[in-house]
Amino acid sequence: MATIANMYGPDFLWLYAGVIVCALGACWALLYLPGGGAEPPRPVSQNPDPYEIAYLRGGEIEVGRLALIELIEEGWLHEKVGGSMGKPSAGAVLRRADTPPSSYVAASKHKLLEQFSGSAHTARAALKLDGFRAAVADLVRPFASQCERFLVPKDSRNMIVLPAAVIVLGLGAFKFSVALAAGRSNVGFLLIFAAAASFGLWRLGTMRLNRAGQEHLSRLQEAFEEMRIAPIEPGSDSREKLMLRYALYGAAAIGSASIAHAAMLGLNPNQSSAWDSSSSSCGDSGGDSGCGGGCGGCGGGE
Amino acid sequence: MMDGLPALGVGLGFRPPLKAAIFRRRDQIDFLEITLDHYLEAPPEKMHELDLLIEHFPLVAHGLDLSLGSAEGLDQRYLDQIAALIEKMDPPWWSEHVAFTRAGGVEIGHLAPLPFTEEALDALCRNIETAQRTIPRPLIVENITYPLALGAAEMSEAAFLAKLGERSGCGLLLDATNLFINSERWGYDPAEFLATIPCEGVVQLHFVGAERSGDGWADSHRRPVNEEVWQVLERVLASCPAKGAILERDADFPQFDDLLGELQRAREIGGRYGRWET
Amino acid sequence: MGDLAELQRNAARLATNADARAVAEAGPEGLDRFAAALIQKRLKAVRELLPRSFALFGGELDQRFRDWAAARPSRSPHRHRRDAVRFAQTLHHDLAHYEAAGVEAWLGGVPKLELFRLRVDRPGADLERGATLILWLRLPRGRLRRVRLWPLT
Repeated sequence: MATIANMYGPDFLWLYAGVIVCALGACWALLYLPGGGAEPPRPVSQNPDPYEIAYLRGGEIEVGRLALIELIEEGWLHEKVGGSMGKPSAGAVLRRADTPPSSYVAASKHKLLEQFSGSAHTARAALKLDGFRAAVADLVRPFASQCERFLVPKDSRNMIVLPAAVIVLGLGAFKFSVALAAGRSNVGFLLIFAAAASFGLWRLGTMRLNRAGQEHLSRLQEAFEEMRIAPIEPGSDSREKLMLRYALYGAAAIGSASIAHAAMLGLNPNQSSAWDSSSSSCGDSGGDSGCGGGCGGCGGGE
Repeated sequence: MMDGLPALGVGLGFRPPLKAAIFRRRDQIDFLEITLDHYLEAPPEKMHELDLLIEHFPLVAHGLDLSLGSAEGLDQRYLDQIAALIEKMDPPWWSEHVAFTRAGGVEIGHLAPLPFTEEALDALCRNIETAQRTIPRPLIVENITYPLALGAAEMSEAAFLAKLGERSGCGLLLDATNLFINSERWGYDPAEFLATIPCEGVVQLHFVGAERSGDGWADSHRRPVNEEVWQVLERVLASCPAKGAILERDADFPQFDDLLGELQRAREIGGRYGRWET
Repeated sequence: MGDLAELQRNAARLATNADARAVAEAGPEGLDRFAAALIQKRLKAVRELLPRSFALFGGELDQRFRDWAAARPSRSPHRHRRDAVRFAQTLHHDLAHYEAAGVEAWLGGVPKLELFRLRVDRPGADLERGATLILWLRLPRGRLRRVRLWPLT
């Protein structure tokens, strides 16, 4: 420790950078890589379960949001007129329909709907209710075990990331205190490195999917890419498409399909996203036609 | 080389706007035709897309720009590129066109017709031989529509295709829509055409709606299959033991169920003549 | 190689170059129509790739493209995307520049950082002024991403 304490600043920064890279790399390898490998990737299902996909993408909270979308779509929940909105991010105040719609509510959704019997809630509040969360856990139960192979186990995350955090941040804190004690104030780079390491550790600590999970989700998103951007035409399967779209791509995708849903859930469909896939603006399929074009037979177009 | 090819049934030309629907209804699509040029020097996401398609569907490969009819010979670099793609896809056959797309350093960007002459036949056969040395898989060649004739013809299109099959050994991709359009434009009977070509060499078909254009027809690839084309398709399937048929819709896509309806109708027609399972 | 090679060279040149057709003594009947159909096909594809630019400029852009394409054969691979990028360079407008940058990024020109004087990231053709810094890059799984670095919202 005395060696480290007395180490020349730039030399320490090199050492610290190496420790950070090794620690983060080891965490990543231990958490992310175990999934996949020998097992072949699961084929893309013809009838993907939107709840399972939402669970993979974002856990139980996304399953809860998807369930709210379905209840709204089926007419079991609607916006309470005159309800206090509070913050827009909480969503509209939702209440159970007075007159049951002609559709029936599936048994799996009964418990969710019970949370709105007699009380109205915003989406954000509903997602936090114990009863709602228990009902969501019931929704997840049928596929939870088959999703395990795609998820980083929570216990592993804590066991691997916490020691790495102790080493990385501890080392940084030690050198920081030594520097301050010696009256040195040029600790800017040390702070930057520590901040970057903290961000990396946080990302690893909250990483949900392992390699197999990321690949599986990516394959699903790839296969159904056009659902993300194409308008949903009214029809018998429009609800199914809306739910699958949300499950695969989340809030940004549903915003364009149904502004009403987005607002009800406290999602802002109108905010231009800083990050998005470039394909919708690039006309990813633009020009990728086949042979024709009215020019006499197949064309050399793309 | 054309013996023992699998009967694939009826499928679609793969187009990205249809991708999601294709995956969701894949039990109603027997196979897909992939346009090779879309995956040449393509970004990673296109190659991921191709990997996903290879994993989930039987595929055949269709080239656009090899310019098999070029008197100047083939572009070896392009040939090597499509060879690598075809190797990756491992299709039972691949296809190109009886046409040229480049000459004198100029890329036309579309399929231009060949004169139906012995000289053109020689050029085609030379190039087919070159292609087959690089890509030792069954090659089938497609008839295109030709709104104009370049040079004086020494024989009919059907006779040209018959001689081509005989000399090169490659099979035919018979485009029923193009056959209909050409027969209307140039005033011949599709039955005569079918009586002249080597029907046993027809491996695959293309079909799509022909679009009215002035007092003729155009192959815009954006219309439902019209009755005239259905009739030609039925005649072709009655005469030719084709292994597969591809609906080549490129634009103005209807509801996907409508496209599946067209596939099913083609499937039923082919099934009546024992070409594939319905 | 004999007459066929020369026939094909002439046809290729005539089909893709309006000036050549104008001075040609004679050409096959229908070559003008074939050439026009070629350009129409290219126009349709480029309209899909630069939709907002075509909406902004209105009908005049169709003819501008036809005139531009008349003497410039397309180049493979991905010929329509290359057309879109080259044509957009002639338009000297931020929106065209933005749409073309996205196409160029798809073709492989990443990472790409571009500064625009208009809020090109907002939908519609009526663009307000405002410096906009956009980055195109490819993430590890290969999907192209567009990031607005400025403004932050």
